[in-house]
Amino acid sequence: MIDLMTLKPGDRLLLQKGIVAEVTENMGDGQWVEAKLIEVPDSPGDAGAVELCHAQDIVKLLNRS
Amino acid sequence: MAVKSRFDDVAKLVDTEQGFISREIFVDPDLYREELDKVFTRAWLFIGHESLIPNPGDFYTTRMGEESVILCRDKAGIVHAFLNSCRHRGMKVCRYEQGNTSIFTCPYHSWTYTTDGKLQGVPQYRSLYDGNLDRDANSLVSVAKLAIYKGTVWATWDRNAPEFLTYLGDAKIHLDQALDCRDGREGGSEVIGVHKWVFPSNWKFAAENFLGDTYHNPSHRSVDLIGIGPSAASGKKGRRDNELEHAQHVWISFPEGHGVHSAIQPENNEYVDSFLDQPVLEKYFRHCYEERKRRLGEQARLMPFVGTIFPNTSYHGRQPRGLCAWHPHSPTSTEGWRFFLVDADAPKEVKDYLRRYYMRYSGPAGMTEQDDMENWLYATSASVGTVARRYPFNYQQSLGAWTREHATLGGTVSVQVTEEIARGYYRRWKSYMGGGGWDELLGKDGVTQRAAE
Repeated sequence: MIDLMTLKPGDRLLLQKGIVAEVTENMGDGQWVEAKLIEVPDSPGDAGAVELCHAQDIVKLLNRS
Repeated sequence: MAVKSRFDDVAKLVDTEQGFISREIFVDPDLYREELDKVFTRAWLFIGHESLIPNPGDFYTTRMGEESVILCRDKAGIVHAFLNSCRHRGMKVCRYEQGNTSIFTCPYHSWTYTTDGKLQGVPQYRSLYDGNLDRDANSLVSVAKLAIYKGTVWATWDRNAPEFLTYLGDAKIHLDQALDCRDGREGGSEVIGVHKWVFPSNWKFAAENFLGDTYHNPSHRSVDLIGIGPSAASGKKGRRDNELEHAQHVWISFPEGHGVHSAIQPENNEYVDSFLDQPVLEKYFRHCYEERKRRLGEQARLMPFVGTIFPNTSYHGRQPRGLCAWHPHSPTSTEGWRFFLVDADAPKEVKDYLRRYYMRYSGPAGMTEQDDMENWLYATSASVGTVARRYPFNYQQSLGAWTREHATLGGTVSVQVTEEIARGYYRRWKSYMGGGGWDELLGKDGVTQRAAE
């Protein structure tokens, strides 16, 4: 389990469904980070979108900024 | 389906022409459920003050009827009001009284809303909902209309309701006297504190009290004898300074159901010594009085006392000064919220003194409010019995002693203590309970005006 409080803008995440996203803001509530979608295998057109990512969506931390 | 009480015809319970009103409307659970549906989902309700949410992200958790509502200023500075209930399973998305946030996250399943009410975050949105959940359709439930008037915030669930100022009608000029600066500038007030407390009474007792029920004055006799006003230590007893000792008092019923007790100062409109216990305040209020006269001219003769904006918002206009929302909890339980008002640019010493004076007068520990609550709660508890319910309350005081022949006051005016305002209030309550259209609710249909006309 990832402690969201440690995430910072620029950190890369692997989300469910193989989505890769980059943290753009951590509002520090321990549940959500804002992230820009980099790769969205099921819906490539969504790449570039900025969404809230919940802790349950995060599979693992790919790399720190 | 509309809520319907066990009473075939609610109108029969309220006879404003003869002056009798059934106790059932103050104690019956079915009628109470029906008025939540027919009054509180339609009327404009006072929900807060801009000064409670000055910055983007500020929120204040308020109420409309029994329901929790979030009053919030979004990051663009726009004020919103939403039902405080997640669209997923209904959990409160905000459990704090006030604060600042960028999002509201439901504690149950973490659905998350931005400060403009939009559903923004849904855990596992792409894996469990295939990214297809309609977020717009699942935003927080917004009020149908919201109005900001001189800092006060009002809302209604009825999209067909008239604009707020239409709803307020001619009561506006009286409410203005409570909301405007003491020196006559428009608006400019701020809330310096809110008292919240629950008392075992029907909410309408409190609302009626501030319509202009001057008749209950004897119940404050002990407070008057002790003297809790701003000149008490200087020998002026009473609850307040008698600023209106030379004024013509007027009691006014408005067709929308509102009612006020105001006063008209004599032509010379001389300042009456006030705040004698505090030289700084004495000087400040004397200055404000003269400034108000200079600014408003003849209009400055109109002074506020108390009033109730239908259905559940009351105000004190001078000493003390503030707004109060009477939130229903049950037929026999009410939560009072007193919002104490001062001029935002008043000196700190003035604000501090007024805060203490307001608390001495009003709210759960206020000596005058305690008198009132004792009346309301015993009147409620003594009306729930089987026998008591058979006997209606009497509202026959000053029947017919009113006029509409006046130039500027609006409404039906009495110059003697009267229950005409209460009769007007319950006449309009009856219209709401009958599901009347807005012409009727505003008293514009020509049918629901006094039959005596």
